[in-house]
Amino acid sequence: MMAHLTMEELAACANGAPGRDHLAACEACQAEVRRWQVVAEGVRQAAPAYLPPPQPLRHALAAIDGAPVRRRRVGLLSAAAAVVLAGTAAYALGTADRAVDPSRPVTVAAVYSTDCPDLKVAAGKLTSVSGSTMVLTTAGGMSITVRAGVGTKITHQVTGDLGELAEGTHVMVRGEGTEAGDTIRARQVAITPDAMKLPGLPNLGDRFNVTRRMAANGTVMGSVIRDGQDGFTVRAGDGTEVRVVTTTSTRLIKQESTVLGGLQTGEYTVAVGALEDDGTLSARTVQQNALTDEAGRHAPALPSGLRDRLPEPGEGLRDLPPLPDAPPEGLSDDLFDGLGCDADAIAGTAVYGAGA
Amino acid sequence: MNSSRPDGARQAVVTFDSHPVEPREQDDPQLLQAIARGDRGALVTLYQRHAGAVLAHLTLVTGDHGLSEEVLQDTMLAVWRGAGSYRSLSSVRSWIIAIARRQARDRLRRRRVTMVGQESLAERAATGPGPEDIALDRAKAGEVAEAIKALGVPHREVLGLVFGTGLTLAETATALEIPVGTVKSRLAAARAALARAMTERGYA
Repeated sequence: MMAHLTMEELAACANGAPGRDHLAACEACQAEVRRWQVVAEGVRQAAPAYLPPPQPLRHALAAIDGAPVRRRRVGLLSAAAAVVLAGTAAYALGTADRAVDPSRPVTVAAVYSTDCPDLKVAAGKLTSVSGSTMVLTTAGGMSITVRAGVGTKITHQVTGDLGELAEGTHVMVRGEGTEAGDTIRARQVAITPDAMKLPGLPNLGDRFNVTRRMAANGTVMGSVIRDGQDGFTVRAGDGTEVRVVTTTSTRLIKQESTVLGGLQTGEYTVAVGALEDDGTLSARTVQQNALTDEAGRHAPALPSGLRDRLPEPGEGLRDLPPLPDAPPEGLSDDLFDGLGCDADAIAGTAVYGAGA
Repeated sequence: MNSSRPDGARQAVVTFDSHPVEPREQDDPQLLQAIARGDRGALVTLYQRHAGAVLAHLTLVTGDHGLSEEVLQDTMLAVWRGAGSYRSLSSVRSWIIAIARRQARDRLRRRRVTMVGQESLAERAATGPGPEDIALDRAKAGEVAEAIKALGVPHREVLGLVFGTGLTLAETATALEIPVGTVKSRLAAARAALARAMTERGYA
């Protein structure tokens, strides 16, 4: 009788290779192959093959050119699909850490750096509020204690009236878009802070209009330029105009001042302020995003058809691997670039650029 | 250190409409030779070929996708700097994974994350089919996948390399820097641990 299959052969069979003749006649080996196949399938489910994301290569190439090696920031789940969609651009969503110092308290690893040396960003679900302190828990499960003082500006989302919209108001609209991407039937209109950094949209010419593709998927961000009886028009960052149709069920969301006790636990909250030596954050601004609908809470997804075609900023379309199905967790590593020390703008950008 | 490519080295070709244009079909060792000469396009091609598998493996081992991307980034940088040291004694993929393992180990050490040391795992051989194998016979792949995530790092590593990345046992041994015999015993021990886990989940 021929020898049983070796471990090498069993593994190869579990990976789909045909076995030698002995296998057909040996029930014991067949059973072993089946068991290894179960293991192999489990491994493939536990570690699905990824399309290689562009960021590691992009950062490695930048480092080759002498740029500092990028380090991740502990992840927060970016969920405002609009921003992510816009960020073809924002595909640069990464988990970079510009400021993790192993000698600092662990809290350091749970905040984001900004252009401003004195301002860090903590973001996550509001876990608890006690007196003038609150605790945020990041998507990565880290807890950060945030202290509010007399001068801390605290806002949260409330519903408003569509009549409050005026020309020039910055909005993020979500709803159902037409196939052409020229009109959205709005489910929700959120007034975004004027200081918020809008995503830069690549201008790829008439053949590939990102704003239209976003709108076809139900999202547009930009400024209100015309108002009408049944809606308004939004001009996006690339100049494309999208008609927004509103109905009686369309909800308007805006930010309104509140106090620490007015915030809801369990909701996505952003705090911007100074990181103290004890690892707590002394907040200058706190904003809570409690009314964004479920669309904003899901992992962002690029519209079908875009995934394999979008470029990195400043790059051609085909010189890097295709995008993965889902961006990794984390705020964009350049999300706060250019915002300087404007705490409100940083907080607003984080609120509308990420969700819990 | 600025290790930018030498003058005249070729860039990746970029076009809008067409499929990705690789300079020309090259096998992996040729790509490494090109990288050693400072060819960035070759690095891009190598990345396209292997990064997905390396990232999947790193994620399985570390359980942290973000960290794994960072390790992958460091790995590609190390490949750029060390391509000239490649000797064709192993497959390029196993060579890259070996680099990735060292990068991950260094990174985790810096973060002071405690991993189960390989040495602490008994390299037990399987005891042959038994009641626990019945659990494996009945188990569903999704349940097995969950149980795999709970295994120790050495077990996840060997399973990931053999069944996720598709390396041969010899290539796995190279990547893990252990003898082939140890790969075999570790595979058997990993499966036994998995079978025990499935038994505990009621599959016996």
